Amino acid sequence: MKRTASGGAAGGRQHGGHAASGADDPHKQLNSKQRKKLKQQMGGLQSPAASGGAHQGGRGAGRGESSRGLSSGLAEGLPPRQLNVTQAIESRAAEISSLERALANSGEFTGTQRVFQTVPRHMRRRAASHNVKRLPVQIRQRALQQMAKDDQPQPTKKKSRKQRRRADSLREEFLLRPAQNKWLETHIWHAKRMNMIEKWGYKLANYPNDKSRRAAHRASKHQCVLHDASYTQPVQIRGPEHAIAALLRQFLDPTFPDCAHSDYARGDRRLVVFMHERGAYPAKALDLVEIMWQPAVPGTQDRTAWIWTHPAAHSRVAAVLAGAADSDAEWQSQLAITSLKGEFVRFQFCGPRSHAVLFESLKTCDAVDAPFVNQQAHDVWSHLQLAQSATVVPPGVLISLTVHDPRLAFPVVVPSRLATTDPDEDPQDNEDLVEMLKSWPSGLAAGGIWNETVRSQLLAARFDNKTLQARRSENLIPGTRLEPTPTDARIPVLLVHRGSAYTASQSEHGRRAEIAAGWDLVLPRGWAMEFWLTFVFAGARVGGLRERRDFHFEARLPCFPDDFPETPAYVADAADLGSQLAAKHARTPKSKRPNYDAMQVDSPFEPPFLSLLVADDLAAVVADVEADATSADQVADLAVEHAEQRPIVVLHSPSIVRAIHAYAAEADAFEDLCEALQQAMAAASHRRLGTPRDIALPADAPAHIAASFVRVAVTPLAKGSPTDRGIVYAATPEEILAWHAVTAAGEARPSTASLGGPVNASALSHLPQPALDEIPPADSIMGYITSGHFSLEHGRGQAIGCCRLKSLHAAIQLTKHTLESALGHSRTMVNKNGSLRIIARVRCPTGRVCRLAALEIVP
Amino acid sequence: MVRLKTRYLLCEVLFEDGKVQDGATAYMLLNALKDSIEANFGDVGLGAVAASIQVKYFNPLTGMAIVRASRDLAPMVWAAATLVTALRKRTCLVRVVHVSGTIRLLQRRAIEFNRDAVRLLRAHKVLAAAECEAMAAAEEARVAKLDA
Repeated sequence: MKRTASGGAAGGRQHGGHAASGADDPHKQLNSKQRKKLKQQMGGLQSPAASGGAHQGGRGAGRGESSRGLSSGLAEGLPPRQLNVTQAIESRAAEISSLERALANSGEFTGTQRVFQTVPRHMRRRAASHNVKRLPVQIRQRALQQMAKDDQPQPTKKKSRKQRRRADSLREEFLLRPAQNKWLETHIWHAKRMNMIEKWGYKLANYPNDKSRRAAHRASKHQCVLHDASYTQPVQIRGPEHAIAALLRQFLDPTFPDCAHSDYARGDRRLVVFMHERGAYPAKALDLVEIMWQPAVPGTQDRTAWIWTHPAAHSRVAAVLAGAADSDAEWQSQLAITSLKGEFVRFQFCGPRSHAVLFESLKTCDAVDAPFVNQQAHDVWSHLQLAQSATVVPPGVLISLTVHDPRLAFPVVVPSRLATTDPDEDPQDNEDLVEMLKSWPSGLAAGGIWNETVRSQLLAARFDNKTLQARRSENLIPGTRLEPTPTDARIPVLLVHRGSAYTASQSEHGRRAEIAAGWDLVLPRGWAMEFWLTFVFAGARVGGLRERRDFHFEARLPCFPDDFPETPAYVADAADLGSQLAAKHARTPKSKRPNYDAMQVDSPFEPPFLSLLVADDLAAVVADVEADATSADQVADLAVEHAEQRPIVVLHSPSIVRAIHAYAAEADAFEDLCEALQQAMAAASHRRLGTPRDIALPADAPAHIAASFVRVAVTPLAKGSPTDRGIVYAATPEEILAWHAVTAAGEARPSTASLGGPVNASALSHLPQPALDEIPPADSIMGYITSGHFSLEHGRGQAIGCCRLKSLHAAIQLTKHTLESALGHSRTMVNKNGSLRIIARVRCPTGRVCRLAALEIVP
Repeated sequence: MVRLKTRYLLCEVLFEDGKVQDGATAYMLLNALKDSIEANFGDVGLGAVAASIQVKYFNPLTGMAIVRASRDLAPMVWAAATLVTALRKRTCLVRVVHVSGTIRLLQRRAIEFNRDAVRLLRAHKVLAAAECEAMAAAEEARVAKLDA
């Protein structure tokens, strides 16, 4: 009897029935939802007495307190009994099995867990409970089903008109914008990863979000760095060749190679040259432009030339060119000047690996059905595969390719450089490459990219990603690259080599630098992201404006526009930065900011190049008004009026700089030097390289030369790292002699050999110790620094700045006289390559010490 | 948005006379716990705990119970359980075996506890060896089926 009773009670009736055991108050009625929840929590685990009892009593009487009361009453009435061991083990075993069942049942499918809780740790996202898109695709369906059981969100009110007119996503918003917009095509990609700034009418990427300055520097030397430079835009001139050349000659620096020289006019190379206001050379420099000619199309008379300008100067350049064309009747009818702003996308590559990345990513199409395919260019490009880097290629060359849609072959795998050599490799290929590089073929720039019909048709031929995915899904083996079909777009691109004679002349070191001699890729509008993603996934690191500036700095190259004070672009940027710094300074409490007045720094936020001219102006004005007895105040006011915000004149021509190196030491008087330079300018602008172009210099050219500046590269002799907006002072004779004594044969920096051992602090103590708080007088200021900081490449500080030619000439003469009176000769102030060595003192705006540095005049 | 955290206590109820009463329910245990709280912690204690205490499961045959309480009051409930002297006038002892924040882990611990109890019974040679082996084999087969 006992046994059956116990068996009956303990027998497997653990499941089923309704849960009443969990309720606080057994008399409280649980509704179905609560019962279900309770049951799910327990996972089917039921106290045997309650379930068994309920089951016994509830069959006919329905649920409710009566049955419960009855069951508990029935069971309660039974007296306690002895349990034998078998029964004890049985009951334990039953409990174990019911617990295990409960454990197995609790989970997603009993409703205790949701599918987003079962997602692996690395895929978990916050707010996946109400946003299905945050879950992996495969389980979204299940999640939706479970979400349907949640409380439904309140019906939203009708959107306001403003909301209705808003675009649904960022991409849609971008596509709705007109072509002349502030965003580059790769904006959204950059905005997620980089710090963005507004510059020159665009929203551009300044630097990546990670601390990667050193990594970017290493990548530019060994790997590949990519930069979106689509802010440089071209102006197109169409017309007869002689008319275009004549128009351009009025604006371009005449000491540079002629724009219509056969190398450039055939379209083989591009010309980097300065553009001035019409007839205003050497003053009023506008921009550093690139000029590319389209190779002559047989059957047409008109030629096309592109002038690539910096965005800060684009509108001005287009305006002055159009204005000049209108002024002449003949030109008005012949020449068509259009601004191609927004038509092109331009990517800059820096680093030896970029060559391999480009080679693998640009799949040329050789189909004869595609128009404008330049087969010769494709052959040259395939031969270039053997080249290790873009620096071996002749500077400034253009190659026009027609490539397939990069999405078809995405993602591209660039073979590792560590891979073993190919046994099929033919040494003859290397020789062929060398031969080709020596005698670069002509006509490689001809292609479809020059043709606006071709460019506009490309946008229509572009299929969307959905079609691409559909094509990929048709592949038998997933991951197979797609084959191009005849309906796919064939995109004409232009590879431009960034080298130029101008860049090569700016820096000995920079000549070999990757930033000076890498590839630029010009694409038609609308295709930026496709190519961008291919390059990024092939291993290109992306750099912003800061990286671009750093690469120029490490190669000791001036960076446009930050190191070119002669251009309006620099003036605007410097004024902008200056006002930001001044505002920050004003916000800072006095005890936490440097006291520039006490340090005798007049303009710590903007290098005041014009203030160096005020002294001259002042003297001139004083001379003028001395006759009339006006007050000193009026004279000062007039002088200040002269020094309004305008660009200065910088002698930036390589030939003029060579002339300075040649004549500055010989010419005792400054006027003689100016005369010599003027003659050099005139000589350079007459009948150069067989083309007739007698360009008369303007009448005020001598005055400009007298007031001109030159760019200098600053290298500290011992310690110190010059900073931006630093001040360059002239050195004293004692310092000059001391420098000479420390360095053997007058080298620029103390070397190991000259000091008879490793360079250490005690050896450098031979140089005059800079005194604390001894600030040189203001009239010994020679110039200011535009970019300066520690250089990772060289392991010391360095800087680029601008100094007044007159002050430099005085310093050179001082050096010459000092050395001659001490040593009897001044051979040592001239380098092996003929450039002059000048010693100066440099001080930071917040510095209390002036350190010695060597200056070198660069174009 | 503050999360309400709970604690689950796995308790073993041991009766002095060693017998089992089939009619003992979870409700009886709950009342016993509440009486203990009132006796030891007063009205304040009872008021604090009343809303959150529950006996989720009680098996009178094995004496295993799962009590649920809010996290902050779990020590109080644990103390009160330890101080329970009788369940419906039958002297008993409540021993808290494990405390856990989730019921799943508690269930796992309960399984282990039961297995230990079976081993203990076997170890004290209470059953004949053959009978013991038969029971163990049957149990293992059932467990294996569940795991598979």
